[in-house]
Amino acid sequence: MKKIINLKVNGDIYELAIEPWRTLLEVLRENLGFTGTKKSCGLGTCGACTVIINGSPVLACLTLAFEVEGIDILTIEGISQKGSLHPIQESFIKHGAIQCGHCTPGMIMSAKGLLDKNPHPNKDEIKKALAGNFCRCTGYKKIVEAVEAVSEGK
Amino acid sequence: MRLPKFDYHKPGNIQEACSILKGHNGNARVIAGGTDLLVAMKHRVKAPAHIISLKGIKGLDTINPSSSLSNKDSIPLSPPLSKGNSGEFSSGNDTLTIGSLVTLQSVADADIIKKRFPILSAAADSVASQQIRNMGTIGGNICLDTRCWYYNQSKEWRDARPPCFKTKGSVCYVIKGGNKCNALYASDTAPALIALNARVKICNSENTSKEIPIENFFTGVGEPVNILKQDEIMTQITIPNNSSGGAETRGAFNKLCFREGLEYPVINVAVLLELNKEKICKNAKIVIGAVTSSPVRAKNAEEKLKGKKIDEALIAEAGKTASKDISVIPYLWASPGYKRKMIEVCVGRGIRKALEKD
Ligand SMILES: Cc1cc2nc3c(=O)[nH]c(=O)nc-3n(C[C@H](O)[C@H](O)[C@H](O)COP(=O)(O)OP(=O)(O)OC[C@H]3O[C@@H](n4cnc5c(N)ncnc54)[C@H](O)[C@@H]3O)c2cc1C
Ligand code: SF4
Ligand code: FES
Ligand code: FES
Repeated sequence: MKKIINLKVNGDIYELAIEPWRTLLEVLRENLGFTGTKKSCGLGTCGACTVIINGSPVLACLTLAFEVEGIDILTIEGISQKGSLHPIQESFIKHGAIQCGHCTPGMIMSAKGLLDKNPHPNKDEIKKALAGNFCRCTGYKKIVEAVEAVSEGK
Repeated sequence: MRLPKFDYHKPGNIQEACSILKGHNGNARVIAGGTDLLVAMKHRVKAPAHIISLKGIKGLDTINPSSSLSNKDSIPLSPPLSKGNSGEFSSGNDTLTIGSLVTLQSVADADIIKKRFPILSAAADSVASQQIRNMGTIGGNICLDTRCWYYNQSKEWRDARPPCFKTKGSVCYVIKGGNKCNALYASDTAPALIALNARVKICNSENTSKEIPIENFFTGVGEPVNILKQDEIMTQITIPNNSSGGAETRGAFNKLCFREGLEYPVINVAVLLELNKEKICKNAKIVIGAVTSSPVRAKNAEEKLKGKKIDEALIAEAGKTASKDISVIPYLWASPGYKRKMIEVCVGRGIRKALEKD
């Protein structure tokens, strides 16, 4: 029961034949090779699979690929431009906000969702926006500092 | 975890969606944001052969301030406000209509909701995480399934014992010897909507619709959770502009969880008070969620407050009354004693927060 759909990922359109029960996360990783978007719980509790759809961070593990046909999907691979990292990525490196790195793409996509909407959030707003992202290495302090630094233009 | 297999439908209007539901006779489900349904499907507690997306139906994702007169037909007369915009009620008779597909984040952020119904905005804003609020809808939040330690588990976990009432078996592991499912209904927006006298519109495959008070939407048992029939879909929520001759309405939404983010409530409480100029309480609504299989009104506690000037002694009395009147479901995520004590505390906090705004 495969159906052909068009997915618009990071500005490029991909034509795919997939089954309706495939999640966006599976299709991104397994069909399109965008393995920057991570998979962990698959149940909405960790945020590792966060991507930005129509400007808002959402969970790819709880999104049917069929449901986002033709809609702008942005993954971690799409936020750097012309070979240079996005300021949030730079800040994560600078502040040592990465340990194993598994949660990092999701953290960055959630942070981007926040900063695009509210360029100068306070610490509480940052924590609230990242509440759905679980870091198994528990480096939250540096992650919050990294996002704070971007908002302050440092 | 992978999803079970299903056919996907994306009808262009409500009637078609209801007809597909009817045609598959219980083996089909609508999907809104999917944040509740897809988790249940991954756990294999639900495995409908047909999934019906509501995303192809126009007009379900807007917030409309409109005159109550225009509610008689399904098309709002006033131009729809785009999500998150501000708007004003023009007269005391007006209502606010929220399409069932409006996301929780849009409900939380909409200026008109923040201004007129801040307890609804606070309730929506308290759900889960940024990502889930961006996906989850208010309709899905109201139609939320109940939760239980023995139900929200993987198939392997559940396979260790015979199915319970919730999964078509004939036992309950929470209240042994009982004859019904006692799972908890933990929606955050439902108590706020009950306090606000909201009504929900339900359409069916016969192309007829009805509007009922949201208070009557729930069955009171864990399964089935609500009164929706197989071919029915909730299309919108309407909140009256509770303006009442000169009295001032104040509210508070209070949610108790084990941690601050990404957590279902252990208890949530919506409080709405109407105070006159002399600060006498003319009307009170206290709605408590997550401790039973539907939100419950603490009517005796409401009565305690009415006609009086609220002071600390009265707050304590109202809290105790609410706690005494509600028979909590024991041992789901917290002990019955803790839940009873915390109902008292949370009702008190809610009333104080509502009064605070002086
Ligand atoms: C990690 C996590 C944490 C969560 N925390 C909270 C929380 O703190 N508070 C809370 O309230 N919820 C919480 N939720 C539950 C859920 O995300 C929200 O309740 C959300 O609003 C559900 O909406 P949805 O649109 O995603 O529903 P869906 O999953 O699409 O649907 C839920 C159910 O309602 C039915 N349905 C949906 N829309 C309609 C309609 N218009 N008419 C008829 N039936 C319909 C579906 O068939 C399904 O059975 C959490 C979920 C997760 C995964
Ligand atoms: S309350 Fe009882 S019947 Fe309902 S899901 Fe839990 S164990 Fe099953
Ligand atoms: S993999 Fe999606 S939230 Fe954990
Ligand atoms: S850096 Fe290892 S999970 Fe966050």
